[in-house]
Amino acid sequence: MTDSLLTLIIFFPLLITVVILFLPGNKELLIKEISLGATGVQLILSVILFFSYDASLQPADWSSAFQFVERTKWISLYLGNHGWLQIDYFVGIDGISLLMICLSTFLLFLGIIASWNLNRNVKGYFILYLVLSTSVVGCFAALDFFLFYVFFEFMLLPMFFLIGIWGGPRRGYASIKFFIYTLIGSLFILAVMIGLYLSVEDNSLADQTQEVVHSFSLVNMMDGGYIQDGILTPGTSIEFWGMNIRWVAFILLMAGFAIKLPAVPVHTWLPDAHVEAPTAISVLLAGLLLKIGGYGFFRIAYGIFPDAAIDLAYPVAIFGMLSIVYGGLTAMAQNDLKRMIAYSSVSHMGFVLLGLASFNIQGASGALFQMVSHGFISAALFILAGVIYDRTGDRGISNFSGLAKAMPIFTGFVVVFFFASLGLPGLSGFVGEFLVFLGSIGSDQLPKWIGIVSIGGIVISAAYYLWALQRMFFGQFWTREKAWEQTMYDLTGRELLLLIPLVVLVVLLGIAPNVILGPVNNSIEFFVNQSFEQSQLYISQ
Amino acid sequence: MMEFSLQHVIEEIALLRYETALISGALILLVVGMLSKEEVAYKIFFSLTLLSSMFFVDVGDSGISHSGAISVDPMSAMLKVLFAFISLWVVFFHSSYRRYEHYFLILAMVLGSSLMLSANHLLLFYIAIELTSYSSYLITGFAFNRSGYEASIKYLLFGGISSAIMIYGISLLYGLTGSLSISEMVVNTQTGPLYHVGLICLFGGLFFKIGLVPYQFWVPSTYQQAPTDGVAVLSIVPKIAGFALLHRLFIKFEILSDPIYTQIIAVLGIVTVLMGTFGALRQDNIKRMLAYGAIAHSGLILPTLLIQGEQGGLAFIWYVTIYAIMTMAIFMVVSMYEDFGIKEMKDMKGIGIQFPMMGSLTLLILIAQIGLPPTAGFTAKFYLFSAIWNEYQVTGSTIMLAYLVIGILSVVLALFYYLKIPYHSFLGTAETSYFGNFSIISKSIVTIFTILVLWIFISPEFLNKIAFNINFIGW
Repeated sequence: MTDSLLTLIIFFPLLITVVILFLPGNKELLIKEISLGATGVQLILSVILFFSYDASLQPADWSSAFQFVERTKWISLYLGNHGWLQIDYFVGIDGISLLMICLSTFLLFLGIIASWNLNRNVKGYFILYLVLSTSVVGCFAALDFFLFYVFFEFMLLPMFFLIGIWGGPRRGYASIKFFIYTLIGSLFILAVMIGLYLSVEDNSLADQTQEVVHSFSLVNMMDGGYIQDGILTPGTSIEFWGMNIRWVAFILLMAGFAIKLPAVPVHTWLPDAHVEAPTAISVLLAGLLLKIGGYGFFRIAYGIFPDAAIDLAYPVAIFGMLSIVYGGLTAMAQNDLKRMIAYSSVSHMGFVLLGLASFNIQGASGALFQMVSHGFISAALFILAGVIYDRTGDRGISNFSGLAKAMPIFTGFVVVFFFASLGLPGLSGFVGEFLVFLGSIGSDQLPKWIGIVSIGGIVISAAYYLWALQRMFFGQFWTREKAWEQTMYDLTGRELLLLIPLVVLVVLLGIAPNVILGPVNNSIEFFVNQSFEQSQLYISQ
Repeated sequence: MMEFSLQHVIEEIALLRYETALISGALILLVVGMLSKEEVAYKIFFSLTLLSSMFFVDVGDSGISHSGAISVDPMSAMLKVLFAFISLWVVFFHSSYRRYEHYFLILAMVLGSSLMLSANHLLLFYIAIELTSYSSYLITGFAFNRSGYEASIKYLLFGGISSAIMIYGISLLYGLTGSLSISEMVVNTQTGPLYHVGLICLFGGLFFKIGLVPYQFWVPSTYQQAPTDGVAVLSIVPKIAGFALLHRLFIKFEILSDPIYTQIIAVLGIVTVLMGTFGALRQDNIKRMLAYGAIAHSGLILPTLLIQGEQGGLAFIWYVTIYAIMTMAIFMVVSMYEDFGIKEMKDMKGIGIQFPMMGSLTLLILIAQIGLPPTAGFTAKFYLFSAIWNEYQVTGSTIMLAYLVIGILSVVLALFYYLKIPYHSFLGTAETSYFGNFSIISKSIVTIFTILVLWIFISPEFLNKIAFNINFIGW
């Protein structure tokens, strides 16, 4: 079964959409149950994946770094005097993608529970949802750039409609803004992808045909299988506005993924999208879609262009720091709870950039840990914001006070996750941020002050979380509208079902970070060392 | 002079089997139309004509006829099949009653376009263009209303002037080289300024056909006012024929070896992309928006002609084939919405929610028009951008890099205007619900087109095999 386990995880939900497509639209409960089952199967399969992953493997090069590899020829086209173009269905995982896939399937499963009360256009919603889940998981497993790009693009449409049809009052604006930002980013990626495949050849295939085989394989790109005189071949003398074209390509990739991450100054789509999106979609947006930006940095920008990455570490770190500080300060100024959480996401994703820019093992594992931990925490925070919104149709921080009295259990959860998010030791948020600081301060590429200023980010997040706690949850019980007081009942069973696993995970990761750092350790070590070696090699060419 | 014998005439006609089939079909259609007032009768006859003409195309054929007027090659053969195949779907447009003359004119348009592909003689070439143009002018007015006539007359005036310019260019070339046959002209090539004036005038006429800046003015009003099934053919067949002919002239007259020509044409192309894109952004009428989109598509097909060798030809075949498929599909969709009385985008509010199937099909076709995966539109754009990247890699010409940047930018902007349709139809709230339903036949055909667009993305080998059997360099 392990032969095609990955394919099964990726495409199982898509298969189920076909079933749902033929169900009548009024069988709402059945559709929900089937969708829950589909993501449940996906979750179980990924747990199997997690436990059958061989973490002790120490790869020698990228081509041996991946497990559960499946590779079938998809498109091979003859380009005449330019040889062949080879696109494969090529999937496989290393530690980094393993974590991302497990995170995805878990949150996708929770997302279905979070959307259980949906009653408008149920069939369409769950079809789009399952299509989204296929493309998210596919994105994390793809080892062929073209395949990655297809999954990456295919995510946009379901998301556009999920926000645009089932969203809040300004959903049209928010969904268009989301779509346009992400699409512009993905076109940068497209431009680099075309340049890359024209400069890369797959030697293993070239032997048989005696002609150049241009491959999209990411493994091949990371291992440096370049043709001579290709446009993006290391050592190329082609310049664009006085900058080496490889550097330009790296910047384009960074820009593309930074929009997805999102990093300041291209983050402005995120608060709008979050505020308008329904709760479950906010969970996915913060928990998964942002991670694809981070994953793109790991796998593509840093994996393929380590020479440019090391050289440009300083500006990347500056953008990371800016996101941390600016995102935090903006979060403090928000009155909408969901908007505040959205900006805090921007702030926390800044750590991913900073960790990667430090280019050492602590930094990279910190960045990865931060992605996973933020996935859980932000998911929980958006569910909590959704709880208030479900009861009152309002999320204004200044519209509530003393909620602790009316909703003690709810408040308990809020406190746990606020503290987890601001980085209290013992909860998961702390580990990632701590590792990133270690990385950035110990980095050879970065000046110390960037790390030190970023520590200030923790103080800022403490400030806005505590301030929000104080304003909303403590003090006299009061709501802006009298009618809301009756509706402020405590958490329901379904909401508890959503939050308890998240609490368990956040605490577990905080106490025993090795649960996930263990399996990925070798992969991260290899990623950092290999990228460093490659960069030295490329620069010397 | 050459000697003509009956033998030669027969050979000549043998090379023109496809065209002969079309002419005879068109003439009989006129008779059928006069005898029978049954719409079905001449619709069936129309499709039979196109179907049978497709069987007369021999892909293996290549060569120049005895008189030197006609040349046949795999490229033109493939495009002729495409023309017939695409025009066939016109009969399924679920629209108001069409007179038989309408179908006659479409056949004439296909005929003229396929003659354009085969013309190796400037006189034949001119006649072919005029035949295509006259049928286009007439079809534009076939809505039989005031604005239709206005668009038709506008089109006629622009077309007349561009024909005049073209024939002026042809006469200059004739005077300088002493021949009208392209093969002979090439041998007697001159390099004086008049020769270039002649060439530029000749290209001007073709630029008019493909709607390239500065000859794009007729496009929006024609598309908006002409009957939708007419526009569908008009925006595909003559345009592709114009491009193919331009391709051939570029090769025959060795235009591409002259960097100044390449630069000027590339600049015109870039301006066309920008003009179409920015024009489309401001439109509210669906067909007018599609017209500007078509102008932008023209600007994107143009660079494939400027790229020498197989890469350019491959990108050309890919782009025009997929352009033909998705354009036919989108106009079919437009005509279905027209049956609901919807012409403006803001009238579409909530229709996607009420008819989710139709809304999704529309969306997928528009995604193809923009050029995003998982549709063949993406594959076409991917080939295009690859070819341009590669040209830049080989020649280092800055204009190609600019083309790449502008091309990618146009994809971004295409999103803004094409997605207005699904934006209104899914995210808008309907004031009233729509009565009636879409016809099953039209819906299934749009489904077939959508599946085709998806299928070509998933397994493109089929089309690639066709494209590779074509020898672009010798044609």
